Amino acid sequence: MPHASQGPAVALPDLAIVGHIRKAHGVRGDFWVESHTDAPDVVFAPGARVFLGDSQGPEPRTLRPFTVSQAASRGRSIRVHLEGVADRDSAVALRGRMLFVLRSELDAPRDGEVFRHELIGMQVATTSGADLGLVEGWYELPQGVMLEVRQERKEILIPFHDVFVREVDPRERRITVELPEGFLD
Amino acid sequence: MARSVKKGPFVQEALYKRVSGMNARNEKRVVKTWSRASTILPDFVGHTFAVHNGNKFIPVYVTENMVGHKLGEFAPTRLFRGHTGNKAVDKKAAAPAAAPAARGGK
Repeated sequence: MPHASQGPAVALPDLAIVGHIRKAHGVRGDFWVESHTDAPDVVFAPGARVFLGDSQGPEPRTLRPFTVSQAASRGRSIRVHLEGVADRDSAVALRGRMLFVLRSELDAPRDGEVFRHELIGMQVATTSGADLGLVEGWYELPQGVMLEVRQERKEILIPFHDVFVREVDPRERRITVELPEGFLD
Repeated sequence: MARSVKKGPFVQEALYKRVSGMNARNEKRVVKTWSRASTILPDFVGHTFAVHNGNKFIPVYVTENMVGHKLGEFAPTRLFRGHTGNKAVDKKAAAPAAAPAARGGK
């Protein structure tokens, strides 16, 4: 098991997934990471701190951060070396795990944009005020992001597109949508 | 082999009639369809189709750069719920010019 580098433990982590660890590379502990961030060059820059975990969240015993010592991008993947991951066996053991960073270290989204992880749990309502449910997840389809909204008995899919989504209020955790006739049938 | 040009694009007749009727009435309502093989025509732009993916109907809002593709390309039969990464998403984002056929993506 790799050891985390020295650094203050985070008591109540507010973390966001930024990458998915894929296969090991070489014998020095490098591995490939599938990036889930818009700014992989910044998030995985040498010296940056990342946390390990799975898709359910970071693991309590690994809440100390790992420091990125080397990173090189190729296409949508990045080859990363973390301090404390010194050999191939350690890198293989990390395969399938997720990498997290502190949300406070992320750049704020631009005007009109919202982080995808912030969409989860938002209340969805129509412009007429009818409550549709909570955002449970999202899908990345060829035409863009599709919101999965959970209702009591079923789920509905709503394209995250200007035509349907009128307003996203991150503070109120509310999305206002205008749906065409027959959408909910 | 590509479809012969002289035949023109394939569109399910019932679907085409339905959209043509809505265009004549200047009406916009969601059109449910199982016809994933129908080609998206310029007449379809601005309409929303509920395209069946074998399990449920996937809403597809048709934009100009979808013309020429098949409806089924925008309703994947396997849906993978994304990780909660920190990618930003813009609701003004339009569909890609050339949508990947099988696996989806950006």
